[in-house]
Amino acid sequence: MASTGFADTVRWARLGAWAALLAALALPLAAYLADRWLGREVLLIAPHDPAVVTLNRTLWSAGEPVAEVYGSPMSQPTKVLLFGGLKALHPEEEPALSLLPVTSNGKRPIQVRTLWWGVRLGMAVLGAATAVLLGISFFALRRARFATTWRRA
Amino acid sequence: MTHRHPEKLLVFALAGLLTAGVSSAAERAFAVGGEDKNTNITFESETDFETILGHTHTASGQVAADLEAGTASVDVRVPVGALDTGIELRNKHLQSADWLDAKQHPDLRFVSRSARRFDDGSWEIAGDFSLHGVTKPLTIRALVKPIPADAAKAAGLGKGDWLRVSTPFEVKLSDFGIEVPSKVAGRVSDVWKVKLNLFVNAKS
Repeated sequence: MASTGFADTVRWARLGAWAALLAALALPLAAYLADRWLGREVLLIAPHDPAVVTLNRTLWSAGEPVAEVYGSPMSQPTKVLLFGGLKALHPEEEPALSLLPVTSNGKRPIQVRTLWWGVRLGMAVLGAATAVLLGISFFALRRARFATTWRRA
Repeated sequence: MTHRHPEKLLVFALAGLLTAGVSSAAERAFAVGGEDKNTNITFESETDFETILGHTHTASGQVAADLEAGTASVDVRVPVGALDTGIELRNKHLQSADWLDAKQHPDLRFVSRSARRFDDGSWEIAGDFSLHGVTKPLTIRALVKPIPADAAKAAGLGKGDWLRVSTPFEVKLSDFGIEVPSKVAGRVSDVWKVKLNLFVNAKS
């Protein structure tokens, strides 16, 4: 009876360990695909008022930074996941530039570095869970074998 | 050493005091703030986790400048309560006593001590920056551009003369007695990149 209980524990622990391991491996794969398909290098800007943009465009001359015309930009471009209606702006003055206005309405893009940070954290947690479940499985197997040997004796 | 005409010395001393002041006769006073569109101030925190780009459209104060002579003085205040990181909960944390402590220290403030203009139209302004009840010297490089009257009118900026002032500078929070709380360590930088974009107005 006791060995059946241990056998169940071993079975469930192994199943859980496999599930955690697969999830740990699936996370980076999913992140890689999201990064590849949805990831876009953009310059986040706190947008100026449309009237100010119009004014800045009249004051702008070639050679001056373009992003400042449309808003107050971050110092470096960053890679974000563009989905759910988020759309980058390509200024006429420099169409290759991708500007993404961020406002105070809470609709902000997920940054790819945040995604990978989450993946690392998730993999660490799932890796630890896998190790714990394998440990449980190992000890339950030993106890089951010990119980069987003791009963035969 | 004795002076035969001490009253002359007094006159010279008074004249000296008057001319040593920050404002000259040709300086004009420009108001900071007004409508939201006149102000776009951003602050940026960059870490391996994310880059936070916060902003505010609220500021007040005054810029007095003589663009010809290259003299200026600046006094700008930004309310801590108006800083917006884009996430309501994060704003509450930012304004709490653990961080910028908006109740005890409601404003960020920059007051100039000296200013000089360069040939390229930029200005170097040295002054004192106050944050979280701590005041430190800060020197900024500002681009100042007069706005043509017709362009200002077309943009609906209102009457009077306008200047566009933009300046980037960095603020190290720990210099101002602000420690990034341990629960968000690694997700918020100790150094913030700040950028001021102001349209300032002289009504007369």
